[in-house]
Amino acid sequence: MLDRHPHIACGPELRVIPALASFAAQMRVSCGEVLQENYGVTDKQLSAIFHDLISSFFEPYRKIRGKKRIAEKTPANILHFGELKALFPDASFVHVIRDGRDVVASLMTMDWTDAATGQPMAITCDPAIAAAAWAHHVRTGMNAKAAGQRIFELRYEELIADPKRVLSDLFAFLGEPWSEDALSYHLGDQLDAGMAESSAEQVSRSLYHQSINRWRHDLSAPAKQAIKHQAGDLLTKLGYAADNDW
Amino acid sequence: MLPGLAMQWRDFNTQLGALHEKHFALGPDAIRNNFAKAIAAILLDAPSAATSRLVAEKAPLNVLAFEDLAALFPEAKFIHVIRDGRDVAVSLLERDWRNPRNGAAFPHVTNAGAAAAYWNGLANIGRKAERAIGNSQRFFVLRYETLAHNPERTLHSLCKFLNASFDANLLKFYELELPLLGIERDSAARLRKPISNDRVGRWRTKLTPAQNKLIERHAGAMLDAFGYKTN
Repeated sequence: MLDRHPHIACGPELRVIPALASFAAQMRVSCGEVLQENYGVTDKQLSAIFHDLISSFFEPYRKIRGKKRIAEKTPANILHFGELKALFPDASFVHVIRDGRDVVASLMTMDWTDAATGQPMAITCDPAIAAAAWAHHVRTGMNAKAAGQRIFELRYEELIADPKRVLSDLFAFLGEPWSEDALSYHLGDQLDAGMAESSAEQVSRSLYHQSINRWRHDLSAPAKQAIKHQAGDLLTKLGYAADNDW
Repeated sequence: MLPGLAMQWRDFNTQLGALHEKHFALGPDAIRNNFAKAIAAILLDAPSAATSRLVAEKAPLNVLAFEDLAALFPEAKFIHVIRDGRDVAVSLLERDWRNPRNGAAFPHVTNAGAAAAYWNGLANIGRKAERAIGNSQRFFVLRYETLAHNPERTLHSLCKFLNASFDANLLKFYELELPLLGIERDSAARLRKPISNDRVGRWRTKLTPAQNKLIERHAGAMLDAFGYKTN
Protein backbone atom coordinates (compact mmCIF):
# COMPACT_ATOMS: atom_id res chain seq x y z
CA MET A 1 0.00 0.00 0.00
CA LEU A 2 2.73 2.43 1.01
CA ASP A 3 4.69 1.74 -2.16
CA ARG A 4 1.83 3.39 -4.06
CA HIS A 5 2.33 6.70 -2.28
CA PRO A 6 4.21 9.16 -4.53
CA HIS A 7 6.81 9.86 -1.83
CA ILE A 8 7.30 6.37 -0.39
CA ALA A 9 9.18 3.35 -1.75
CA CYS A 10 8.28 0.12 0.03
CA GLY A 11 9.72 -3.08 -1.37
CA PRO A 12 9.46 -6.65 -0.11
CA GLU A 13 10.72 -7.34 3.39
CA LEU A 14 14.40 -6.49 3.53
CA ARG A 15 15.17 -8.93 6.28
CA VAL A 16 18.77 -7.92 6.78
CA ILE A 17 17.72 -4.92 8.89
CA PRO A 18 16.83 -6.58 12.21
CA ALA A 19 20.02 -8.65 12.04
CA LEU A 20 22.21 -5.61 11.45
CA ALA A 21 20.42 -3.44 14.02
CA SER A 22 20.82 -6.16 16.61
CA PHE A 23 24.48 -6.53 15.68
CA ALA A 24 25.08 -2.79 16.06
CA ALA A 25 23.45 -2.82 19.50
CA GLN A 26 25.57 -5.80 20.53
CA MET A 27 28.74 -4.06 19.35
CA ARG A 28 28.02 -0.97 21.44
CA VAL A 29 27.81 -3.15 24.55
CA SER A 30 30.51 -5.73 23.91
CA CYS A 31 33.26 -3.70 22.27
CA GLY A 32 32.30 -0.05 22.54
CA GLU A 33 35.28 0.68 24.80
CA VAL A 34 37.84 -1.05 22.54
CA LEU A 35 36.38 0.62 19.45
CA GLN A 36 36.55 4.05 21.03
CA GLU A 37 40.01 3.81 22.61
CA ASN A 38 41.88 1.62 20.11
CA TYR A 39 40.10 2.31 16.85
CA GLY A 40 38.95 5.86 17.39
CA VAL A 41 35.39 4.80 16.57
CA THR A 42 33.02 6.74 18.80
CA ASP A 43 29.48 5.67 19.48
CA LYS A 44 28.36 8.29 16.99
CA GLN A 45 30.69 6.97 14.28
CA LEU A 46 29.53 3.42 14.92
CA SER A 47 25.98 4.65 14.34
CA ALA A 48 27.06 6.31 11.11
CA ILE A 49 28.74 3.11 9.89
CA PHE A 50 25.64 1.00 10.49
CA HIS A 51 23.36 3.76 9.18
CA ASP A 52 25.34 3.68 5.93
CA LEU A 53 25.46 -0.12 5.79
CA ILE A 54 21.71 -0.52 6.27
CA SER A 55 20.95 2.37 3.90
CA SER A 56 23.10 0.78 1.23
CA PHE A 57 20.55 -2.05 1.04
CA PHE A 58 17.50 0.07 0.34
CA GLU A 59 18.97 3.09 -1.44
CA PRO A 60 19.10 1.38 -4.89
CA TYR A 61 15.41 0.48 -4.61
CA ARG A 62 14.48 3.98 -3.49
CA LYS A 63 16.30 5.43 -6.50
CA ILE A 64 14.69 2.99 -8.93
CA ARG A 65 11.28 3.98 -7.60
CA GLY A 66 12.26 7.65 -7.70
CA LYS A 67 10.82 8.29 -4.23
CA LYS A 68 12.10 10.49 -1.43
CA ARG A 69 11.66 8.10 1.47
CA ILE A 70 11.71 4.40 2.17
CA ALA A 71 9.31 2.23 4.16
CA GLU A 72 10.68 -1.03 5.51
CA LYS A 73 8.25 -3.58 6.85
CA THR A 74 10.17 -6.60 8.11
CA PRO A 75 8.12 -7.70 11.15
CA ALA A 76 11.19 -8.36 13.34
CA ASN A 77 12.15 -4.68 13.08
CA ILE A 78 9.83 -4.09 16.04
CA LEU A 79 12.35 -5.87 18.29
CA HIS A 80 14.98 -3.25 17.39
CA PHE A 81 13.05 0.03 17.26
CA GLY A 82 15.28 1.57 19.95
CA GLU A 83 18.48 0.77 18.10
CA LEU A 84 16.95 1.74 14.74
CA LYS A 85 16.00 5.12 16.25
CA ALA A 86 19.64 5.58 17.29
CA LEU A 87 20.80 4.68 13.76
CA PHE A 88 18.06 6.65 11.95
CA PRO A 89 17.12 9.60 14.20
CA ASP A 90 14.76 11.05 11.56
CA ALA A 91 12.87 7.82 10.96
CA SER A 92 9.19 7.34 11.84
CA PHE A 93 8.14 4.08 13.48
CA VAL A 94 4.88 2.25 12.89
CA HIS A 95 3.67 -0.70 14.94
CA VAL A 96 1.04 -2.81 13.17
CA ILE A 97 -0.95 -4.90 15.64
CA ARG A 98 -3.18 -7.76 14.53
CA ASP A 99 -5.31 -10.25 16.46
CA GLY A 100 -2.78 -12.84 17.68
CA ARG A 101 -5.19 -15.66 16.91
CA ASP A 102 -5.27 -14.73 13.23
CA VAL A 103 -1.51 -14.30 13.30
CA VAL A 104 -1.07 -17.85 14.65
CA ALA A 105 -3.61 -19.27 12.17
CA SER A 106 -1.70 -17.57 9.37
CA LEU A 107 1.71 -18.75 10.62
CA MET A 108 0.49 -22.36 10.73
CA THR A 109 0.00 -22.26 6.95
CA MET A 110 3.47 -20.88 6.16
CA ASP A 111 6.04 -23.00 4.40
CA TRP A 112 9.14 -21.62 6.10
CA THR A 113 12.20 -23.75 6.69
CA ASP A 114 15.01 -23.10 9.11
CA ALA A 115 18.04 -22.50 6.87
CA ALA A 116 20.37 -24.05 9.45
CA THR A 117 18.50 -27.34 9.91
CA GLY A 118 16.34 -27.65 6.79
CA GLN A 119 13.41 -28.41 9.11
CA PRO A 120 10.13 -26.45 9.13
CA MET A 121 10.41 -23.51 11.52
CA ALA A 122 8.87 -24.15 14.94
CA ILE A 123 6.89 -20.92 14.62
CA THR A 124 4.93 -22.48 11.71
CA CYS A 125 4.23 -25.81 13.47
CA ASP A 126 3.66 -25.13 17.14
CA PRO A 127 0.80 -22.74 18.06
CA ALA A 128 2.29 -22.17 21.54
CA ILE A 129 5.60 -21.02 20.06
CA ALA A 130 3.82 -18.87 17.46
CA ALA A 131 1.59 -17.26 20.13
CA ALA A 132 4.55 -16.59 22.43
CA ALA A 133 6.43 -14.96 19.55
CA TRP A 134 3.42 -12.80 18.70
CA ALA A 135 3.08 -11.69 22.32
CA HIS A 136 6.80 -10.95 22.58
CA HIS A 137 6.79 -8.81 19.43
CA VAL A 138 3.66 -6.89 20.40
CA ARG A 139 4.84 -6.30 23.98
CA THR A 140 8.27 -5.13 22.80
CA GLY A 141 6.60 -2.56 20.54
CA MET A 142 4.21 -1.39 23.25
CA ASN A 143 7.05 -1.12 25.78
CA ALA A 144 9.09 1.06 23.40
CA LYS A 145 6.11 3.38 23.03
CA ALA A 146 5.49 3.42 26.79
CA ALA A 147 9.16 4.31 27.28
CA GLY A 148 8.60 7.44 25.23
CA GLN A 149 9.53 6.52 21.65
CA ARG A 150 7.29 8.17 19.06
CA ILE A 151 5.49 5.19 17.54
CA PHE A 152 2.27 5.08 15.52
CA GLU A 153 0.17 2.09 16.57
CA LEU A 154 -2.03 0.78 13.84
CA ARG A 155 -4.61 -2.00 14.06
CA TYR A 156 -4.57 -4.32 11.06
CA GLU A 157 -8.32 -4.92 11.40
CA GLU A 158 -9.09 -1.19 11.30
CA LEU A 159 -6.88 -0.78 8.26
CA ILE A 160 -8.90 -3.43 6.42
CA ALA A 161 -12.24 -2.10 7.61
CA ASP A 162 -11.53 1.54 6.86
CA PRO A 163 -8.30 1.92 4.89
CA LYS A 164 -8.99 5.54 4.01
CA ARG A 165 -9.26 6.73 7.60
CA VAL A 166 -6.35 4.68 8.90
CA LEU A 167 -4.08 5.60 6.00
CA SER A 168 -4.87 9.27 6.30
CA ASP A 169 -3.98 9.14 10.02
CA LEU A 170 -0.79 7.30 9.11
CA PHE A 171 0.19 9.80 6.41
CA ALA A 172 -0.51 12.65 8.84
CA PHE A 173 1.82 10.99 11.38
CA LEU A 174 4.46 10.62 8.66
CA GLY A 175 4.00 14.22 7.55
CA GLU A 176 3.00 13.06 4.08
CA PRO A 177 0.07 14.34 2.01
CA TRP A 178 -2.94 12.12 1.39
CA SER A 179 -2.62 9.88 -1.65
CA GLU A 180 -5.60 8.17 -3.25
CA ASP A 181 -3.14 5.83 -4.98
CA ALA A 182 -2.44 4.00 -1.71
CA LEU A 183 -5.95 2.56 -1.85
CA SER A 184 -5.30 0.82 -5.17
CA TYR A 185 -2.90 -1.66 -3.61
CA HIS A 186 -4.71 -4.64 -5.13
CA LEU A 187 -3.19 -3.67 -8.45
CA GLY A 188 0.23 -3.81 -6.82
CA ASP A 189 3.51 -4.63 -8.47
CA GLN A 190 4.45 -7.26 -5.98
CA LEU A 191 2.69 -10.28 -7.47
CA ASP A 192 5.95 -12.16 -7.68
CA ALA A 193 7.34 -11.29 -4.27
CA GLY A 194 6.98 -15.05 -3.65
CA MET A 195 9.88 -15.99 -1.48
CA ALA A 196 9.97 -12.58 0.11
CA GLU A 197 6.77 -12.91 2.07
CA SER A 198 3.97 -15.37 1.86
CA SER A 199 1.33 -12.69 1.97
CA ALA A 200 2.29 -11.26 -1.42
CA GLU A 201 -0.63 -12.97 -3.09
CA GLN A 202 -3.04 -11.59 -0.52
CA VAL A 203 -1.73 -8.09 -0.93
CA SER A 204 -2.13 -8.32 -4.66
CA ARG A 205 -5.59 -9.85 -4.72
CA SER A 206 -7.15 -7.65 -2.10
CA LEU A 207 -8.35 -10.62 -0.10
CA TYR A 208 -7.51 -8.97 3.19
CA HIS A 209 -10.97 -9.19 4.66
CA GLN A 210 -10.81 -12.97 4.53
CA SER A 211 -7.87 -12.95 6.88
CA ILE A 212 -9.83 -11.39 9.74
CA ASN A 213 -11.34 -13.87 12.19
CA ARG A 214 -9.95 -16.76 10.19
CA TRP A 215 -8.88 -18.28 13.51
CA ARG A 216 -12.47 -19.23 14.29
CA HIS A 217 -12.46 -21.98 11.69
CA ASP A 218 -8.71 -22.51 11.20
CA LEU A 219 -7.61 -23.21 14.78
CA SER A 220 -8.08 -26.51 16.61
CA ALA A 221 -9.21 -26.61 20.26
CA PRO A 222 -5.70 -27.49 21.50
CA ALA A 223 -4.25 -24.64 19.42
CA LYS A 224 -6.72 -22.20 20.98
CA GLN A 225 -5.80 -23.53 24.41
CA ALA A 226 -2.10 -23.01 23.70
CA ILE A 227 -2.74 -19.42 22.56
CA LYS A 228 -4.82 -18.65 25.67
CA HIS A 229 -1.99 -19.94 27.83
CA GLN A 230 0.69 -17.90 26.05
CA ALA A 231 -1.15 -14.74 25.11
CA GLY A 232 -4.70 -14.77 26.54
CA ASP A 233 -4.02 -11.79 28.80
CA LEU A 234 -2.53 -9.72 25.98
CA LEU A 235 -5.48 -10.48 23.66
CA THR A 236 -7.80 -9.25 26.41
CA LYS A 237 -5.69 -6.18 27.10
CA LEU A 238 -5.79 -5.26 23.41
CA GLY A 239 -9.56 -5.75 23.33
CA TYR A 240 -9.50 -8.65 20.89
CA ALA A 241 -11.24 -10.83 23.48
CA ALA A 242 -13.36 -9.96 26.52
CA ASP A 243 -11.86 -12.85 28.49
CA ASN A 244 -10.33 -16.28 27.93
CA ASP A 245 -13.67 -17.87 27.09
CA TRP A 246 -13.47 -18.12 23.30
CA MET B 1 33.10 -8.02 15.62
CA LEU B 2 34.89 -8.85 12.41
CA PRO B 3 33.76 -12.49 12.25
CA GLY B 4 30.24 -11.41 13.20
CA LEU B 5 29.94 -8.91 10.38
CA ALA B 6 31.61 -11.23 7.86
CA MET B 7 29.21 -14.00 8.80
CA GLN B 8 26.24 -11.65 8.48
CA TRP B 9 27.41 -11.11 4.94
CA ARG B 10 27.66 -14.85 4.31
CA ASP B 11 24.19 -15.55 5.72
CA PHE B 12 22.75 -12.67 3.77
CA ASN B 13 24.37 -13.82 0.59
CA THR B 14 23.34 -17.45 0.89
CA GLN B 15 19.80 -16.89 2.17
CA LEU B 16 18.58 -13.62 0.73
CA GLY B 17 20.99 -12.85 -2.08
CA ALA B 18 18.93 -13.99 -5.09
CA LEU B 19 15.81 -12.38 -3.69
CA HIS B 20 17.48 -9.04 -3.13
CA GLU B 21 19.09 -9.02 -6.54
CA LYS B 22 15.63 -9.31 -8.06
CA HIS B 23 13.76 -6.83 -5.90
CA PHE B 24 16.33 -4.37 -4.67
CA ALA B 25 18.78 -4.18 -7.56
CA LEU B 26 21.45 -5.51 -5.22
CA GLY B 27 23.79 -7.88 -7.01
CA PRO B 28 26.38 -9.99 -5.14
CA ASP B 29 29.12 -7.45 -5.86
CA ALA B 30 27.08 -4.56 -4.45
CA ILE B 31 26.27 -6.54 -1.32
CA ARG B 32 29.90 -7.54 -0.86
CA ASN B 33 31.02 -3.94 -1.28
CA ASN B 34 28.44 -2.72 1.25
CA PHE B 35 29.74 -5.07 3.93
CA ALA B 36 33.40 -4.54 3.06
CA LYS B 37 32.90 -0.78 3.31
CA ALA B 38 31.37 -1.05 6.79
CA ILE B 39 34.18 -3.28 8.07
CA ALA B 40 36.83 -1.06 6.52
CA ALA B 41 35.22 2.04 8.03
CA ILE B 42 35.67 0.57 11.50
CA LEU B 43 39.28 -0.52 10.96
CA LEU B 44 40.37 2.60 9.14
CA ASP B 45 39.06 5.07 11.72
CA ALA B 46 41.98 4.20 14.01
CA PRO B 47 44.32 7.21 14.31
CA SER B 48 47.33 5.02 13.43
CA ALA B 49 45.57 3.80 10.27
CA ALA B 50 45.90 7.20 8.65
CA THR B 51 49.69 6.90 8.48
CA SER B 52 49.95 3.15 7.85
CA ARG B 53 49.99 1.03 4.74
CA LEU B 54 48.61 -2.06 6.48
CA VAL B 55 45.97 -2.59 9.14
CA ALA B 56 46.24 -5.72 11.29
CA GLU B 57 43.33 -7.15 13.22
CA LYS B 58 44.13 -9.92 15.66
CA ALA B 59 40.97 -11.13 17.41
CA PRO B 60 41.48 -14.89 17.77
CA LEU B 61 38.00 -15.71 16.53
CA ASN B 62 38.65 -13.96 13.21
CA VAL B 63 39.73 -17.41 12.05
CA LEU B 64 36.02 -18.31 11.94
CA ALA B 65 35.56 -15.84 9.11
CA PHE B 66 38.85 -16.14 7.22
CA GLU B 67 37.14 -17.56 4.14
CA ASP B 68 34.48 -14.84 4.16
CA LEU B 69 37.00 -12.10 4.82
CA ALA B 70 39.16 -13.39 1.98
CA ALA B 71 36.22 -12.89 -0.37
CA LEU B 72 35.28 -9.51 1.14
CA PHE B 73 38.86 -8.21 0.94
CA PRO B 74 40.69 -9.64 -2.09
CA GLU B 75 43.95 -7.97 -1.01
CA ALA B 76 43.85 -9.10 2.62
CA LYS B 77 46.39 -11.56 3.99
CA PHE B 78 45.71 -14.08 6.71
CA ILE B 79 47.89 -15.28 9.58
CA HIS B 80 46.81 -18.46 11.32
CA VAL B 81 48.57 -18.66 14.69
CA ILE B 82 48.80 -22.27 15.88
CA ARG B 83 49.76 -23.28 19.40
CA ASP B 84 49.98 -26.65 21.07
CA GLY B 85 46.38 -27.45 22.05
CA ARG B 86 47.53 -28.78 25.40
CA ASP B 87 49.08 -25.43 26.35
CA VAL B 88 46.01 -23.68 25.02
CA ALA B 89 43.91 -25.84 27.34
CA VAL B 90 46.10 -24.97 30.35
CA SER B 91 45.77 -21.30 29.51
CA LEU B 92 42.00 -21.49 28.97
CA LEU B 93 41.47 -23.29 32.26
CA GLU B 94 43.08 -20.33 34.07
CA ARG B 95 40.53 -17.89 32.64
CA ASP B 96 37.40 -16.71 34.34
CA TRP B 97 35.28 -16.16 31.25
CA ARG B 98 31.59 -16.19 31.90
CA ASN B 99 28.48 -16.15 29.80
CA PRO B 100 27.19 -12.57 30.22
CA ARG B 101 23.61 -13.85 29.96
CA ASN B 102 23.62 -16.16 32.97
CA GLY B 103 26.98 -15.61 34.71
CA ALA B 104 27.96 -19.27 34.27
CA ALA B 105 31.61 -20.05 33.44
CA PHE B 106 31.99 -21.22 29.84
CA PRO B 107 32.63 -24.99 29.49
CA HIS B 108 35.86 -24.40 27.53
CA VAL B 109 37.44 -22.58 30.49
CA THR B 110 36.13 -25.11 33.00
CA ASN B 111 36.72 -28.53 31.52
CA ALA B 112 39.88 -29.82 29.79
CA GLY B 113 37.87 -31.88 27.27
CA ALA B 114 35.75 -28.86 26.29
CA ALA B 115 38.91 -26.70 26.07
CA ALA B 116 40.50 -29.26 23.73
CA ALA B 117 37.33 -29.51 21.63
CA TYR B 118 37.29 -25.70 21.34
CA TRP B 119 40.91 -25.64 20.19
CA ASN B 120 40.30 -28.57 17.83
CA GLY B 121 37.31 -26.85 16.25
CA LEU B 122 39.14 -23.57 15.67
CA ALA B 123 42.30 -25.30 14.37
CA ASN B 124 40.16 -27.29 11.97
CA ILE B 125 38.39 -24.18 10.69
CA GLY B 126 41.78 -22.50 10.21
CA ARG B 127 43.07 -25.44 8.20
CA LYS B 128 39.94 -25.48 6.08
CA ALA B 129 40.41 -21.75 5.40
CA GLU B 130 44.04 -22.39 4.47
CA ARG B 131 42.96 -24.96 1.87
CA ALA B 132 40.18 -22.69 0.56
CA ILE B 133 42.38 -19.59 0.27
CA GLY B 134 45.10 -21.93 -1.03
CA ASN B 135 47.75 -19.33 -1.72
CA SER B 136 50.97 -18.93 0.26
CA GLN B 137 51.06 -15.27 -0.74
CA ARG B 138 47.87 -14.78 1.25
CA PHE B 139 48.01 -17.36 4.03
CA PHE B 140 50.75 -17.68 6.65
CA VAL B 141 50.83 -20.34 9.33
CA LEU B 142 52.71 -19.13 12.40
CA ARG B 143 53.59 -21.52 15.21
CA TYR B 144 53.49 -19.88 18.61
CA GLU B 145 56.33 -22.18 19.71
CA THR B 146 58.52 -21.10 16.79
CA LEU B 147 57.86 -17.46 17.61
CA ALA B 148 58.70 -18.04 21.29
CA HIS B 149 61.90 -20.00 20.46
CA ASN B 150 63.16 -17.71 17.77
CA PRO B 151 61.22 -14.46 17.68
CA GLU B 152 63.56 -12.55 15.42
CA ARG B 153 63.70 -15.15 12.65
CA THR B 154 59.97 -15.75 12.81
CA LEU B 155 59.18 -12.05 12.60
CA HIS B 156 61.53 -11.74 9.62
CA SER B 157 59.49 -14.38 7.76
CA LEU B 158 56.26 -12.74 8.80
CA CYS B 159 57.38 -9.29 7.62
CA LYS B 160 58.49 -10.80 4.33
CA PHE B 161 55.04 -12.37 3.91
CA LEU B 162 53.46 -8.95 4.56
CA ASN B 163 55.91 -7.13 2.27
CA ALA B 164 56.85 -5.04 5.28
CA SER B 165 60.38 -4.20 6.36
CA PHE B 166 61.63 -5.82 9.55
CA ASP B 167 62.11 -3.46 12.47
CA ALA B 168 63.99 -4.52 15.61
CA ASN B 169 61.49 -2.50 17.66
CA LEU B 170 58.89 -5.15 16.91
CA LEU B 171 60.61 -7.28 19.55
CA LYS B 172 60.43 -4.47 22.10
CA PHE B 173 56.64 -4.38 22.23
CA TYR B 174 56.88 -4.61 26.03
CA GLU B 175 58.33 -1.09 26.19
CA LEU B 176 55.17 0.39 24.72
CA GLU B 177 52.62 1.97 26.98
CA LEU B 178 49.76 -0.05 25.57
CA PRO B 179 46.27 0.83 26.68
CA LEU B 180 44.86 -2.63 27.37
CA LEU B 181 41.13 -2.88 27.05
CA GLY B 182 38.49 -5.54 27.34
CA ILE B 183 39.70 -9.10 27.22
CA GLU B 184 43.29 -7.95 26.53
CA ARG B 185 43.61 -7.05 30.22
CA ASP B 186 43.98 -10.79 30.83
CA SER B 187 47.32 -10.63 28.99
CA ALA B 188 48.64 -7.45 30.63
CA ALA B 189 51.42 -9.14 32.63
CA ARG B 190 52.65 -11.04 29.56
CA LEU B 191 52.64 -7.97 27.33
CA ARG B 192 54.96 -6.05 29.65
CA LYS B 193 57.80 -8.60 29.33
CA PRO B 194 59.87 -9.76 26.35
CA ILE B 195 58.59 -12.84 24.58
CA SER B 196 59.98 -16.02 26.10
CA ASN B 197 59.68 -19.78 26.19
CA ASP B 198 58.12 -19.99 29.59
CA ARG B 199 54.61 -20.58 28.28
CA VAL B 200 55.68 -23.45 26.03
CA GLY B 201 55.14 -26.95 27.38
CA ARG B 202 53.34 -25.88 30.55
CA TRP B 203 50.93 -28.73 30.02
CA ARG B 204 53.62 -31.20 31.12
CA THR B 205 53.35 -30.03 34.72
CA LYS B 206 49.93 -28.39 34.80
CA LEU B 207 47.67 -31.11 33.39
CA THR B 208 46.57 -34.18 35.33
CA PRO B 209 46.64 -37.59 33.59
CA ALA B 210 42.83 -37.51 33.50
CA GLN B 211 42.88 -34.10 31.77
CA ASN B 212 45.49 -35.33 29.28
CA LYS B 213 43.24 -38.26 28.46
CA LEU B 214 40.29 -35.95 27.82
CA ILE B 215 42.41 -33.76 25.57
CA GLU B 216 43.65 -36.80 23.67
CA ARG B 217 40.06 -37.86 23.10
CA HIS B 218 38.92 -34.46 21.78
CA ALA B 219 42.02 -33.26 19.97
CA GLY B 220 44.47 -36.17 19.66
CA ALA B 221 44.29 -36.45 15.89
CA MET B 222 44.71 -32.70 15.42
CA LEU B 223 47.71 -32.57 17.79
CA ASP B 224 49.21 -35.37 15.71
CA ALA B 225 48.43 -33.62 12.45
CA PHE B 226 50.41 -30.61 13.67
CA GLY B 227 53.22 -32.85 14.90
CA TYR B 228 52.87 -31.76 18.52
CA LYS B 229 52.94 -35.28 19.91
CA THR B 230 56.06 -36.45 18.10
CA ASN B 231 58.14 -33.37 18.84
